[in-house]
Amino acid sequence: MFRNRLSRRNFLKKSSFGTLSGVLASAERIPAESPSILTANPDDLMRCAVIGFGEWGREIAKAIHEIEETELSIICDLFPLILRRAQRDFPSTHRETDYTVVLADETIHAVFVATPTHLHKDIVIAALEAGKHVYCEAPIAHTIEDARAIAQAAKKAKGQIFQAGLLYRTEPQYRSVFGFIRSGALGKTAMVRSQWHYKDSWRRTSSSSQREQALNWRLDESLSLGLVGEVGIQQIDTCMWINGQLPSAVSGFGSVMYWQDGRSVPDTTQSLIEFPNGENMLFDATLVSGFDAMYDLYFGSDSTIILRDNKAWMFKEVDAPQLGWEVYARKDKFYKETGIALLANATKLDAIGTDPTADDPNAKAPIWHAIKAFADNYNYGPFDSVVNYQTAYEATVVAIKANEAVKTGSKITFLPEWFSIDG
Amino acid sequence: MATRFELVLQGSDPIALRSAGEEAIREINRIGSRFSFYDSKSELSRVNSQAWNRPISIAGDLFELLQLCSEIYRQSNGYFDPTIGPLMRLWNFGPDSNKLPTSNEIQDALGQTGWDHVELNDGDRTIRLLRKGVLLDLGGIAKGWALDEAAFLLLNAGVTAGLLHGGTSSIRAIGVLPEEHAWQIGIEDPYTDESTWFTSHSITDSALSVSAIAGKQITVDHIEYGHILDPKTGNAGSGPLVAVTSSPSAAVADAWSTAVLASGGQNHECNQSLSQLPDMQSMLYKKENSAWKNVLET
Repeated sequence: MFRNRLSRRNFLKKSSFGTLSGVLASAERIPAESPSILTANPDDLMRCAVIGFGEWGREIAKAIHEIEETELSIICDLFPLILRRAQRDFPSTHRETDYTVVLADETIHAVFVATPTHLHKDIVIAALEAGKHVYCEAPIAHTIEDARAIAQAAKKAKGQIFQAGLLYRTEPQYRSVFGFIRSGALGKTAMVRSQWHYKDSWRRTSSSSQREQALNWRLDESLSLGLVGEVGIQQIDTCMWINGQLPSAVSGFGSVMYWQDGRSVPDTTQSLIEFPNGENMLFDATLVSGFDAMYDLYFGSDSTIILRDNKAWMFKEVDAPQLGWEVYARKDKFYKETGIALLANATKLDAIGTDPTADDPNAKAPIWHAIKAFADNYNYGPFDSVVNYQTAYEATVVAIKANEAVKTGSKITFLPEWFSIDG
Repeated sequence: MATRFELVLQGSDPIALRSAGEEAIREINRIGSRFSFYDSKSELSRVNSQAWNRPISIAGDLFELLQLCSEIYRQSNGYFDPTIGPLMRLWNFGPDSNKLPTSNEIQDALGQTGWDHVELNDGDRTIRLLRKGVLLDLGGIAKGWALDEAAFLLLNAGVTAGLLHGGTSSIRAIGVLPEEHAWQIGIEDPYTDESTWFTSHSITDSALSVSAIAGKQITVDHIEYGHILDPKTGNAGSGPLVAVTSSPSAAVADAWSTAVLASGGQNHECNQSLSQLPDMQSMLYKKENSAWKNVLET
């Protein structure tokens, strides 16, 4: 499908290494939101199809639409009302109900799979076999067998990009904090505590009972990975990434505390994820209370870092050494504590004349950065994806087992072979 | 939109009504964050920061909304003007504000105001701002737009009777309650401490919007300056005025209540357009000698 294309991608690949190095070096210095001189040729656009235009598919489509190097070409969904919404949001984008038609379209370079989790496998494997680059939402599957099949297919598809939607690995603020923690800013790391609180029934409705049943897959115990698997995977994966280890065990608890509408999938869960180095993670999620929404806390002997709303603050212990830059940093009050604002790209913002202590006027949502990384891989790669099939598979295994622990109220010790995509 | 939205939905299945309501609220929140003037990550902020002298592609529904803005700007003879952003920023109707802008400052801001500085291209659905400093502020229409979208979702979910409001000033009705003929909406007197209505309006499957000088204003030398600005002069309205408009669309009702109040009911072209719009009702109430009366002649 790329044979006759003289694009920036092919041009770069056929050019000298010196040219490529120069381009990459300058691309590093250009702020992501600036129009790149490299994107002038429309042939260079990564033509994208989004399969599944629910709430999240809509966010993916919006980000594709905003990124200059990508073109939203097809939106695929089974339901007419959803396609009507697609027509309004993106009138010039083709609409389709059959994903096999999308995969047969040779002009499509990349497919974004945003269907319910249990429907990923067939679509992702078929897309990879059709030669498409694939971005698959996380968790990549609801069973280890399906996840393994996806990972194996991605491994086999040499030269094709596979990226999973584990968002914080590409989010600049999280990446900045990742480096900060890895450089020892916390002192001796003690533990992690994360939460996701959102007041919502998680139930969807439709005037069509068939549609309503399909929409409520999250409340179907046989299909859903519950709160810890469907949403907690993002924060747990972040912890695995920062910690640099796979967990050794997971314990879980969960109940239907409020939404007594016949469901069995818990609306409130607590999980303890154990790591070999003892830096354990506590994660709780609820649909009963929205109090304090979502955040991650990384506790250490010198300081604690909180990440929330794509922002981060550091709270220092009284006996912690003073950092050279902290006298210049912005401080924010949190009840009786004072947090030092940690700002991603502060040096770059300063260099382009933007106040690094003010809110970044060009800040983007995490999904924008994830898709930009995918598009950059298409244009300048292929590199090993930031969230490759192995990472995606491992996080999905943890999500599946964490949900199993919640369902059974037990502790599950991870076996090393579970993390092997070869079984 | 920094406003509280509430829904009252009537039906026999509370679980289905709850989830339908949640979807509607999610859509309202989504629109609020996308079309926010104040959120630097919103799509509207992207337009304001990137579209000067450079066409940028925007989502279909935002383009649709801007087309509607363009139409009402023209019909209202410019009294509904979403390019009023620089003036709004200058007046700063924040809680701690107590200073009036100077006439020079107003003149400068007026230079960056006017829909003539906005270019919409139907072909590729792009927008370009033709003058540096032009800022779009959809505060006069976005609440109503969000209510229309929410009502559409509720209707599709099978809801047959409900009332939705944003900040009590934008209201959208779906059907009627059993054994009722219409939803009765009372308009409170903003100048009394008592919760009394000075008038009421009936709506069914339609929308009502109320704009008033009182509610969000700054007070300087005992004079209240309301947040509805005259886009022609850059001045803030004052005096006991309340505009009420009714239309099948909450977005249209919202925009027109702003235009009626901004014009003070005194602009012939604006009033003539109003009189020609089907299914549209407009009133401008003025309080004189403790009594409210409609002073709008269309």
